[in-house]
Amino acid sequence: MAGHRKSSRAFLLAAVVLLAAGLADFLIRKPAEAKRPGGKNDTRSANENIPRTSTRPREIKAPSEPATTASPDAAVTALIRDSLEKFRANNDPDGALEILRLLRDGIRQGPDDTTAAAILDFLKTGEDAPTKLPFAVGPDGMMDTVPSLRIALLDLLPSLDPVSALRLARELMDKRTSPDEYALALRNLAWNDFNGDLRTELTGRFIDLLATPWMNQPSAGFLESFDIAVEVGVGEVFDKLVSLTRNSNTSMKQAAFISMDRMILRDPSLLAAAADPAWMDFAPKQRASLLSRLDITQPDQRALFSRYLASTHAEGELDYFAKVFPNENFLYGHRLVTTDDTTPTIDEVIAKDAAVLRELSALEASVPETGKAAIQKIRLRLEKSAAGNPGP
Amino acid sequence: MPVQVRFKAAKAACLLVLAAPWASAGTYYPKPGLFDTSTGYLETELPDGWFRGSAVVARDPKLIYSAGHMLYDNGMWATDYLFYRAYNGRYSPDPANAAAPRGYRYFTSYTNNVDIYGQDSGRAFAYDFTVFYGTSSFGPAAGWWPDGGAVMRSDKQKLIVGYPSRLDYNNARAYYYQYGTGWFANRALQTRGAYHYFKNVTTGGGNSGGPVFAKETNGKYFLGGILVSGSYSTAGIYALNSSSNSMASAALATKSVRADAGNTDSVDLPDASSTYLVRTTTTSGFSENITGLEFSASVSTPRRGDLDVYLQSPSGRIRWVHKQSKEPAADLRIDKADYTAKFRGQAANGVWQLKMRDAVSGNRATFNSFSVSVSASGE
Repeated sequence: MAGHRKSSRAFLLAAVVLLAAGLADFLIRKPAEAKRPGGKNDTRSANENIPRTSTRPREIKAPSEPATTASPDAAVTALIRDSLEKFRANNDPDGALEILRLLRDGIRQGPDDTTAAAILDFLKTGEDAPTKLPFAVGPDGMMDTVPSLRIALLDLLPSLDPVSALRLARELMDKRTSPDEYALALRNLAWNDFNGDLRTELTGRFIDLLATPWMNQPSAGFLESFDIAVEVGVGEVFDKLVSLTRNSNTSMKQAAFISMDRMILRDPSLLAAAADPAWMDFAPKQRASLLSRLDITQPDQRALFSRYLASTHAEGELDYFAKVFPNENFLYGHRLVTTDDTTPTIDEVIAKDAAVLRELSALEASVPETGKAAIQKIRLRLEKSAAGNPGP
Repeated sequence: MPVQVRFKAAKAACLLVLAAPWASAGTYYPKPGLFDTSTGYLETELPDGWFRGSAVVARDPKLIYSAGHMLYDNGMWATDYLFYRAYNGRYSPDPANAAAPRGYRYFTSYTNNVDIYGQDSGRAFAYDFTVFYGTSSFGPAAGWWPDGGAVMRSDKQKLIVGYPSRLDYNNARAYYYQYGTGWFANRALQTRGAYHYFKNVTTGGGNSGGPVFAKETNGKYFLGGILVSGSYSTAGIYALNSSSNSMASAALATKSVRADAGNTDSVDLPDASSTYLVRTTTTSGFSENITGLEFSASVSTPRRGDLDVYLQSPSGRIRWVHKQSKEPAADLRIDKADYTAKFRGQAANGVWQLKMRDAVSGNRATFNSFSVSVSASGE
């Protein structure tokens, strides 16, 4: 009887756990799908013609990952070991680039499954060799140069076996092997995202990274991982980056600023915190930079603009703001995950400037003197721009 | 290779003061004169002061090309940038005659900060490029070579023009005269990506952002790159490429070129397989990066939840098309789905691979077709 009660309790407990897991899964997935910044352009669901009915009724199977049955490719295994020895013996950057090129060429020529198996086998050993090359992201999120053999292999794994790359990424992030490996693991996690299914995990893993001791001396990989902030684009991460602009490390501040600027371009509502006059008052010119992205043709952003002009500023802050606003400068680059944003053409900027000038005229009467002076400077600059350049 | 130094110069005093030995014979020294009227003197204001450099109206009358490090920032944007087209004189030009670009686009990364790589690293130079844009014309534009790297490495005649504040080989003041190296046929060496350098060519601090022209056999010359660094006997160049071309196109309402490519080589997918089956298709002929990508695919199956399918770009970037799931419905049919968000700005030419597997036993899936429709700016 006792055994029966115990098994009933166990059954009930299991049912509750399953229900909770299902609910959690639902709760986690729904907002992520709704929030996905790429959703506007990446309209898979709107364009796909996926039939809604099965051709015949059948039992629903639980998904399972097929076990990797491929044996490691012997030639690739030999190539990796040869590269390991060569990297260890090499001290010349040009030599390292050549070893790297041969490694990549060899791996790309092998069959995907056995090559991936060889890479996974090697990575399990924990062996590594520095390349003495920088962690540098190249076009399309692929690495240009890598600081170690393991990073080179992690870079190539997703295209060969994305599911294994995802599994390994999670292991590496749990073990926190190195900041550069963590960065590649984040990238491989992000690349495995399918319509937002991994976005919550991605956010959490990035926030975890910001709590590591690696913060004190950020490596290049650590800083490149700030691209994850842009990819997930959520307020929680934005707030973390704001706090990082207090950091004494110049590189950290720079990476945080670039990320925040790109996040604001994708989602201006992130600037809502700027309604508090104390927001980022420890970095006034950076604050001015970020607020220069405000689009005052939008009512909520116009209100923020007015509030900002009416608040207290550090010396030179408003002057700098007046030189940049409305900010139509754009950053391009090679990033781990995100692609370059769509930016306005010259004709679009001209039209937008005209609209801003109209708004400024209306706003001028409602702001204090210091704000008026800033508005006049902005107007003068925009009017001069609209009038055209002096002839050659 | 000698140490390369950025050629951004403080307005009042040159940053580059080298006790340089006389360079070897065959070195191309800059000489004063009005070599090119699309080239101009450039000033920018940064948090740490005013800087002077060079720039060129190129490709379109509303675009000015220069070096990105003229705009280096630390959470702040360069301001008050002024361009003086074809200026050539002893005294600082009058700002009243300057053209003020409306804004700029430039390459940066989370790590191209001096703390990580050093201000004068090859990595920084490989992305050292900016495009200013104006709301009206800056004057006639120089033509351009879409593949500047190939031209720099060729034996075509080249000419570097700009506004050095001081001349390396004798440290003499250059004032605000335009200088040119004279035509030379040296082949550039490629260091990293877009970054190339010439041996036995000397310019000077302040020359940063100046154009490197290359001449056709008919005597016409076009822009192939931008001077970004140098020593007393070398000149470092950012060569124009698909990324810089795309950056410039983004400012213009450039027409798009589209290429469709596909694969209809039907095949049955092995059942319950851990191995991905691959189908490929190739796009080519683009000189700029992707601005749009539509994807279509058809796989017949009684249960599409069994399928793992992903698209791999020519560079190796992946985008999941379908992940194994509990989904009971049949067939995977995707018709012109917009995949631009994952591939915008990426290389448009090369082999696209669709990789797929039927990961669960019990149903047979058949690949029917897939296609990509790639768009990029083009003229």
